[in-house]
Amino acid sequence: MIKLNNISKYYENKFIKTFVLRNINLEINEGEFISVMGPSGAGKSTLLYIIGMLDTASEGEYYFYDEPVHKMKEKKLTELHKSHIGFVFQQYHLIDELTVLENLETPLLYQKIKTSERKGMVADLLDRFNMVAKKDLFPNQLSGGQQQLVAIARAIITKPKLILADEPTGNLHSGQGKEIMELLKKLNDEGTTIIQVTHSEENAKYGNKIIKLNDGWIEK
Amino acid sequence: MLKNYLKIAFRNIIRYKVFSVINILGLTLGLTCFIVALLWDSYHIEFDRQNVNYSQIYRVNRLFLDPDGSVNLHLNQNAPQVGPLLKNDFPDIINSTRIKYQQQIMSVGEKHFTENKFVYADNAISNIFTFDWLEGNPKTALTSPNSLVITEEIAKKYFNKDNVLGETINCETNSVEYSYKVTGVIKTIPTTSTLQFNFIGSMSTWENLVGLEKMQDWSNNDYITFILLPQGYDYNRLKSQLDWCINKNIGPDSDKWTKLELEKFSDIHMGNFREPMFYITLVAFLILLVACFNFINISTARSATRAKEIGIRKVVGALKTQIIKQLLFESVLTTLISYFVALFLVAFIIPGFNELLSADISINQLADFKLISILTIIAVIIGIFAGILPSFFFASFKPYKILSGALAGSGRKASFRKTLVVAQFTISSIFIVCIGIISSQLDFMLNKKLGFNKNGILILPSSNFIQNNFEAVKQQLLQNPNIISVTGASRVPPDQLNDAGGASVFINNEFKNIEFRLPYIEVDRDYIPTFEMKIIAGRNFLQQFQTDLSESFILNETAVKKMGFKYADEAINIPLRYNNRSGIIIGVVKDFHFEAVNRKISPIVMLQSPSYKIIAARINGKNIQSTLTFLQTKWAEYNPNHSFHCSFVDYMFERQYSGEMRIREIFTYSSLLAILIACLGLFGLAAHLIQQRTKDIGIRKVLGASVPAILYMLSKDFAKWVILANIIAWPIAWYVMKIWLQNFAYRIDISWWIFVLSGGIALAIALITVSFQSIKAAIANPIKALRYE
Repeated sequence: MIKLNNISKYYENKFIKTFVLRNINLEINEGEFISVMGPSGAGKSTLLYIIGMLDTASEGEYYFYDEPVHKMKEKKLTELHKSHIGFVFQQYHLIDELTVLENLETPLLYQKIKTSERKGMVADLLDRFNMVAKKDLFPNQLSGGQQQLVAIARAIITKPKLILADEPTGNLHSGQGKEIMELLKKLNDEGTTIIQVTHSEENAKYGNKIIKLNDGWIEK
Repeated sequence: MLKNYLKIAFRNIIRYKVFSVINILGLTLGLTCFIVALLWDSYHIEFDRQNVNYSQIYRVNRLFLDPDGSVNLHLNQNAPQVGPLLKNDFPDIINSTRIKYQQQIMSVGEKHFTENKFVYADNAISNIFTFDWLEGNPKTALTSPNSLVITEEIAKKYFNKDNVLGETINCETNSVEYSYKVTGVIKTIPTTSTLQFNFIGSMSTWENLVGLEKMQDWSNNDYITFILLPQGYDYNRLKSQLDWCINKNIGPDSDKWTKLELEKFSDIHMGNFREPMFYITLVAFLILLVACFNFINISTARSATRAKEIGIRKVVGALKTQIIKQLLFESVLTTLISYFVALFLVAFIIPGFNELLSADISINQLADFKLISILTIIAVIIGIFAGILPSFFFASFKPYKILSGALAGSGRKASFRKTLVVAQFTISSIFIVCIGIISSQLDFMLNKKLGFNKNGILILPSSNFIQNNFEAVKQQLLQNPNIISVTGASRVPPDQLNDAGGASVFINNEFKNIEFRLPYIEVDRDYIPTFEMKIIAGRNFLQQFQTDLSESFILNETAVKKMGFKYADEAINIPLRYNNRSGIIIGVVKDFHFEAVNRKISPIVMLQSPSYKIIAARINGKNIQSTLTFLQTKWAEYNPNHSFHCSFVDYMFERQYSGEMRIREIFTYSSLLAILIACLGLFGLAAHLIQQRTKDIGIRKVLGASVPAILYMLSKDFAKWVILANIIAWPIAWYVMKIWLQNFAYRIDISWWIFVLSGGIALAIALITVSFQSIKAAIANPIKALRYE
């Protein structure tokens, strides 16, 4: 599904290259649940964003379903990522001015899905996440755990093949965190590939593979 | 999708009330100015277009030349015979008409009216211009003597009934009484017409009154002359033959001193307004620009708040173009909200604007589909213009940077905002400097020594009775202790010196023709004392010298100098021939401003005349009201049928600067608006910037910084921007005002302190605006700021 060949990421500043990622070689198959671990500044998030096509690598090749991502234009990239990839963030990142329902709806709007179909998809999801009663609330009226639930719901509403989660439980207390991890596990069981960045050994155990990053290198 | 955009736009507007109000208010003010300016433009563009022959009508003007060929006097009226002569000499001319304004006393039964809007005209007037005829035959209404066409309004006022054809109106002109028969009724002339009158008397009536000889007088330039040319006719063909026509009819080589000129009828109104239209539109545009800069500035300053939403949208699949579309949509929406508020505001502003500019625009003009469509399109374009920079700015954000919390104010956009604030204050400062200079020039003109005492002189109309009994009237008036002196004249300042004749002066034992235009005014012997002019050589006209009545001249200093006398004394007792008079120069009067102060003082010769068209009286400053009542009763005694009206010379002088005063007022209001909008923006920006520095301020205070030190730190940057804006504004304002001052023969030097003062004002206003935010931040408890963080 994902193949990274010698991926490097660096920032050039007055002829000094600051490396964030160095020569990353990685292959991820469909259905895997991968945990990326490592100290702060190791390049975990950058790796996640490059895989998620929100950032581009400075060097190297990236194949997504055998398509060369490193050669694609912005429009194609957006097309690919909006149909295949869902994101979950530590800070939830819901749009504050939109209600739960409207937040869930937003990705569908950008996929140009018809109103009736859209309504159905949103309703199904609300139902599945037990949030029907909360559909008209704004994010700041929800607890952190609830917000993260909405964020995950939003990430999977387009039925992506891949979910990228950047410390999804980092801002939550343990009870809520566990709930979220269970949910991700369930999604993985249903066939969605998941890559999560985490600091917690416990959360990493939910995955079936751990990648350790240190100073931009993958630790063998 | 649109619904989603709308929702988020409205929620943003409501959530960030202060910024929304600043944005919408700023744009509303800018748009209001712009709409009013465009209404005014469209009003003038449509002027006179009710005439079907609008583009085929030409006015024949008359020019007088100096011996060196330069134009000395430009009249938009002409001699009475010019119209018929042109029609006779050039078969290309379809028609011609003369229009002569004449004040008349009209009466129907026992009712008397003094009418100013009365013209005599040739029958062709209705052929050349388009009137709405309600009654009568336009083809023949004005052919025979004693025919009169009146407007609907007059028909109502005089007869209070509809069918007035054939009714009789009595009239008195130059003490001759006669009567008119109404031969036509037209709709009241619209205000958007250059020609304004309520009565047209047939020209043949006037010819009978003044006699045919007077109608052949080339020096009697009282007749506005219009000709009608065929459609598509190249009027240059006619233009090139006008000199030939002059020489043929006045005499060989007459084109050396006088010429005819054709002026497009369509240029008569537009010619006066093209420049004001340009300036007002420019000023309104600049104000709108300041408002747009506000919008751009505040939108980008709020990037931190807005960035998160944009980032999320990108993560969930929005394309760059979709983000741009959304933000443009929002800015167009904000502009349209402002636009609708502005349309309401316009309705309130129009009366004040009309008064300020003596304009006559109306909100009803907006009912015109074409105009309202153009305005709406302009509003949308402005929305796109104001939104385009912020939307590209936002759309270029890298979402991972925003969402991983790495977004900090980059240097580039801060300097971009700085540039906009500087641009806003540059525009405001240009306005302030201009007000300063215009005001100084106005003060200079209003306080300029005129060479006579303009205060307390009252101008009164003369009449046949007064002209025939002038000395007796004078004595009667002088019996009132508040009337200091009384005089008669053909013209009084401020007026134009339109009467001139040929002159020769006796120098070196021969009469030598004077090679410059020497206009005359007919004055009574009390003219110079009444106006408190100063005789610098010789003497005034005296009652005891009979010869003074017809054989004595008084010149002004300029005339004497132009004749070649070094000292005024040398001119005394020198023989002078002027028109048909010959006599001697008995006195020289110190130069005085007869025409407006912005014109160069012209040479003048004063001579006495048996009768005078105008009476001037110097009155005491005390009991002005009772003096006026006294004069009114006297006038009613002399001329029972006349209405009484009078005016003060000082007021008339002031009115001469109404144009300049208007410009000053426009600039005052414009700069107030520009500054207000710029300050709105500055207020918003300061709120934002200071909010960002809350932590910084808190730390500094904990470390022991005093409140003034914090205030200084916060205000320093804003002060720098405003000072920079002034430095840019000064040369521009200096250049613009230098050009404007060229309009005045006597003008002020632009002094440096006006610039410094304007800069100080702009700086003070800016700092006060910022202080609302900075003081609050500086005195706030630092613990709060830090804990908040």
